[in-house]
Amino acid sequence: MTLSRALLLIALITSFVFIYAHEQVSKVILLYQIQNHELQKDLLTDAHHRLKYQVSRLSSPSSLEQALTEKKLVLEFPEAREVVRLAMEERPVQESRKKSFFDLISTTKVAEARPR
Amino acid sequence: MFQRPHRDSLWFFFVFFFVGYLFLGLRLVDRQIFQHGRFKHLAASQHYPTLPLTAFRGDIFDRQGKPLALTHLADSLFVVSRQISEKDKTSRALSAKLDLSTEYLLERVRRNKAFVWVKRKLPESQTGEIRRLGLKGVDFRKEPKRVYPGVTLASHALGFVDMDNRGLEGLEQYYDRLLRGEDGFRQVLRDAKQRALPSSELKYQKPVNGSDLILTLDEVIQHIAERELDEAVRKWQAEGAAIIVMDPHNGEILALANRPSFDLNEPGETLPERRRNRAITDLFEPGSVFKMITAAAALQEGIVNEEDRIYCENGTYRISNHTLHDVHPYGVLSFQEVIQKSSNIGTVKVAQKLGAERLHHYIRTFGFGEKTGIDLPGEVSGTVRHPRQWWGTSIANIPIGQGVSVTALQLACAMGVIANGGSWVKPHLLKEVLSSEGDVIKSYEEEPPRLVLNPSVSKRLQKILVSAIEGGTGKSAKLKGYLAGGKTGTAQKLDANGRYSHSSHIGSFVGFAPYPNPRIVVVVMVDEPRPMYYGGVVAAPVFKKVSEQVLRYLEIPSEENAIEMVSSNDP
Repeated sequence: MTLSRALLLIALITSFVFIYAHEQVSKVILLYQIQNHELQKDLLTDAHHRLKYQVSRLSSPSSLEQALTEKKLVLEFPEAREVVRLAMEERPVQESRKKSFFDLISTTKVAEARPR
Repeated sequence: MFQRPHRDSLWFFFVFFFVGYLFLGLRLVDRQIFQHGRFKHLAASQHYPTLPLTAFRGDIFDRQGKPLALTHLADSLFVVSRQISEKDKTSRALSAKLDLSTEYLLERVRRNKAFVWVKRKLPESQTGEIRRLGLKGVDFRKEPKRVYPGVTLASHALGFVDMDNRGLEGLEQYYDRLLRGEDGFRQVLRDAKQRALPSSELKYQKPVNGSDLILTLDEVIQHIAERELDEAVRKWQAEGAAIIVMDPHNGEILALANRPSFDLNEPGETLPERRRNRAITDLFEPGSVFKMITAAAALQEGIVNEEDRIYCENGTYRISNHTLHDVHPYGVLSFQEVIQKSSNIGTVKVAQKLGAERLHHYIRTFGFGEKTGIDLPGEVSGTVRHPRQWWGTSIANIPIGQGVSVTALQLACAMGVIANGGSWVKPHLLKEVLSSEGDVIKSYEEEPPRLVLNPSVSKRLQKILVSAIEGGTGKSAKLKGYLAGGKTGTAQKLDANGRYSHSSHIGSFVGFAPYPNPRIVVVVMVDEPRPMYYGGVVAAPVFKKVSEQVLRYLEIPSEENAIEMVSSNDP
């Protein structure tokens, strides 16, 4: 009886030690994964910054004008007689349907037109 | 027990070990007690280093949200000398890839330091080439680098930063505290190979990125202004030039440019001379442009009205031992014609009636002789002498823009008074400040405008200035499809002896458009144009080209369109 109790206690302690060690190792692995993801995020953020820079450089008026000159395209403002002015039609402002808690549990779906 | 030689040997060993242990004991006491703090600090710095977390500098956008200044990461090259065994070979290999001499690199590589910068913020192409060499002891560190997509666009207004991203010129300097943000740090535990253990973060302070700025500048208007200014500088072989496009109602600067210009991405490669913001730092005698101030003062004080007849002495007028001339001799002109034809004699006669005190008062109220307070560093106030310091000929010089010195920006603000109905408004470049999350945290707060002229007087002046373009000296500023008002100016520069030069001039034009509801004020200043130098020839065409394009860009209906629209609405 005493021996079996002692063995049980040892088994329990060993299990706890294994679980604890496993948790610690998992934690370290997870932290390494987080570190890698953070690194990835930083790289992607920087790539985004670089692309933003390239886009703004390419879409700057001087770049566009240079491209037009190279392609020998001449853009001119239209004369007044060449402009047809369209009356601005007032579009009713679509208020998005307010969402409530009941929408979350409701099974009905409300179709909403996508604004053009 | 022991014989004497043996006893001596034992004593010798005893003393030897006693002294040895005593020495070790004392060293231990010294290290553990007296130098405890130092060694604790050394161990901590080795095992628990504090790694800086650099905050990103805020971006700068134009009024339409187009980026003018951004920040991205760039690789900076450093060497760890101790890890480099073949120092000569490494230096030669780096020299072939970088634009640096082998001697310079060898000096860096030989430094007995753990970390030595070689070249910071390298272009990507160079980084790739050096990485492929796989040199031992040569590594890169990422650092934020300021980049400007417009390259030279609005270079003087934007300014630039130093290697450590601190603002050195322009808005980058003026709003450095807002843009810079606050660096953070991270204290970690390092293993024997100097690698930070991920689970060991002891202290952490998040870096706060700098705020973004939204400017009043418009990228398209800025481009139009710079393109036309470039053409004028080329055509007239000018030493320099400046242009300002401003909204006269709220003081928003839509464009500000100077020539010569410089590449914002390589500011160190440019002479300081080219980086000077002439529009706010260069003083010049305004010449005939200043007649609009004299005219404004005279109308406001009721000294004259548009139809009053003034005898212009057929081009020669003697005043205090000084003979004043007109470019073309005139007899009797109405006051409106005096300004329209830019008669010096007629203007001086009006100023004599006005008196020095009142003229000086209006010059100051129009903002001359003091800084405008624009949000740019380095602005100068100009020179306007008090009437007590005027001498006999001052009343013949100052009303026609001689003996005073002004900046192009002061002229823009003064024209703004006439264009907006009589109020002086402070010019500014900042519109909004955004947090790094994109929320507006501050908007520019307009200062209450200073009333200078009655609205009716400003309207009358507008008409006079429209006539100066329609039938006066500013004919080449006449816009297609719009009415505009303005005044030409040609001033002689002072030579090395302090005398008026006959070969160096400044041609200028100040105007507003469209009439009767001005939306923009444009100032053009061309420094030492050749062979022609008259403001009406060198600066007025720039005003015309810029104004026409800007008004179309701002979708302000031209006269033709306005007439068409009115007629189409008629029953």
